Amino acid sequence: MEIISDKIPIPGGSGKTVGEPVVRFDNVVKRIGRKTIIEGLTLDVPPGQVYGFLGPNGSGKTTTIRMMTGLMAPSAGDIIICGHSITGQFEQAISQVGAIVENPEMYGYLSGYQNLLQYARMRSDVPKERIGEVIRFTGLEHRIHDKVSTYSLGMRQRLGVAQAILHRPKLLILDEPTNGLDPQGIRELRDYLRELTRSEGTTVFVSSHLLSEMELMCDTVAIIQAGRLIDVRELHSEADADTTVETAFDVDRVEEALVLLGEEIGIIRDGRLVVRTNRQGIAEINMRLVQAGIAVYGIRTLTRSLEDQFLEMTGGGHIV
Amino acid sequence: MSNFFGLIHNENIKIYARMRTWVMLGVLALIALLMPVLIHFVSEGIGLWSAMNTLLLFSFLPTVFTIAVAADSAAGEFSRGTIKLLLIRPWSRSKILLSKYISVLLFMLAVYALFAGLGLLMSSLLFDTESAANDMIGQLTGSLGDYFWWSLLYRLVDCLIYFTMAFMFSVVFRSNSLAVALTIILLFIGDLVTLLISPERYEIGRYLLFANLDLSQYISSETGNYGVTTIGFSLAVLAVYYVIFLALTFWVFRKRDVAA
Repeated sequence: MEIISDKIPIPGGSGKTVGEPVVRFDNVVKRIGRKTIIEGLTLDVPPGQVYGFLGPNGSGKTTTIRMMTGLMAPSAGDIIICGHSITGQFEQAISQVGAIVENPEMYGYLSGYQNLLQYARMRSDVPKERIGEVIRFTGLEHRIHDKVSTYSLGMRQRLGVAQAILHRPKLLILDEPTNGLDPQGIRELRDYLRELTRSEGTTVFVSSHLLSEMELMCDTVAIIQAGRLIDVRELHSEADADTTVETAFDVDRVEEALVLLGEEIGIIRDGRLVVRTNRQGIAEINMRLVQAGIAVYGIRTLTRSLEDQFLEMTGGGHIV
Repeated sequence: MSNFFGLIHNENIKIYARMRTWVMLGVLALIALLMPVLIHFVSEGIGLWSAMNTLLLFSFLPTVFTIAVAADSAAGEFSRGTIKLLLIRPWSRSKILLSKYISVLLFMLAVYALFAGLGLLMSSLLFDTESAANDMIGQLTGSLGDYFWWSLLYRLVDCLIYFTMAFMFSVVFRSNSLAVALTIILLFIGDLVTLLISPERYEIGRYLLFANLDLSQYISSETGNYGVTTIGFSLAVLAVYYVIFLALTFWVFRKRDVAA
């Protein structure tokens, strides 16, 4: 089976990208002891996207995020955020960033509100009203004056998001943001990130090993494995009319259907007729089947999920 | 960027919002209020300043409490993981660490003020300011009042050195308990070390930190406990240690990769 979505060159976007990249990784290397965690990462993150950073556990995602936020220094190379080097101009670079690195750890002996105040005090551009705004936005109104030690993991995640967006950052970095969220929370987060990119033009950089999540959330994903960038691909690209996809027809007399359409058009798999064709082709096949008196119970396109492609590329999620 | 006082305010909140801090302050207040009563019952005819000098025997308490707060200041952020959210703000690491250090310094002044203030309040109710004939410390020349204030100042200097050491361990080892344990151990073995490497016999002994701590040794003798140092010398040695501790602390904190 061939991979359906188009490969796009590394580094950079699809050519559709407008504006300067929000993040530019310039040959970033991280060595810890004798081990190389990140090997020459070069990548541009275009503005206004939800950008996924996908890789199996231990592939260097969190290390990369730690370097983006200045928590770790790259061994070589540099990361430029909104035109400022995170190593050379840390304060200018980081002021454009809001982040959750790993779990959103907060001061448990303070209330959610007091925690947010801590971060608001560290900037001059967060008025009191903004704090109320992010509290409403993350749905924490009812518990915001309770101590964080009484919060569930999901509520801590929300508070983590609240502190990250407090100062309306141009770049929002979220490390495995769906950890600990229930399906409802994951959905809200997803909608929320979409909303942020749309209304405020925020660029969101999300890391995850949850491929299905990334597919739903991201415009573009960069895939890393064992510290190397192995692919960058765009998701949600509109399938045009000429794209051929595998399509399964669930019919009552499958052998007869194949004979009718011609043996070379498709194959029978799992009791269904599988055909590779485009949109127009699907409609025509359906018409011919119905006209021949064959009952069609269902038609389904068999797009391969990113997960299949990802597993194929990373050798079945093998940790190297 | 916002104002540096905001950072110090943040650090103060982290100290005073905790139950632990109020337990320490409560214990301290209780000691400062009850010890003069006890002294009043067991000793007769002693004056206010004698009582206060006796109370100073308990000054290890505010020192130990300050050490505990200093040890938690950085290490607590590492063990809680909150260090990550703290360092991704538009402030240099040095300024964040400086705000922590200042908040501990303010805490030290607060606990000593509480300790001495309440002690003084209680003692002035119980003791006569004038009668200073039978002091409990003995063999002293000069005013007992002066002795008290100088002793208090020297305790503050000791405490400053100890908490700076705890603060350093806190940053270097990122472990609260290790920082407390190391500092307390050093606090107690200090005398032992100076006994083994006695400044009277070994030249190197006089450069030891512990030979120069407890500046109150110069109240009764100009050449100190060992007869080979002066207060100027001791202050110079302490200053050198202090600068080394702080330089190491800030250097490690600035350079270190945060992977907590």
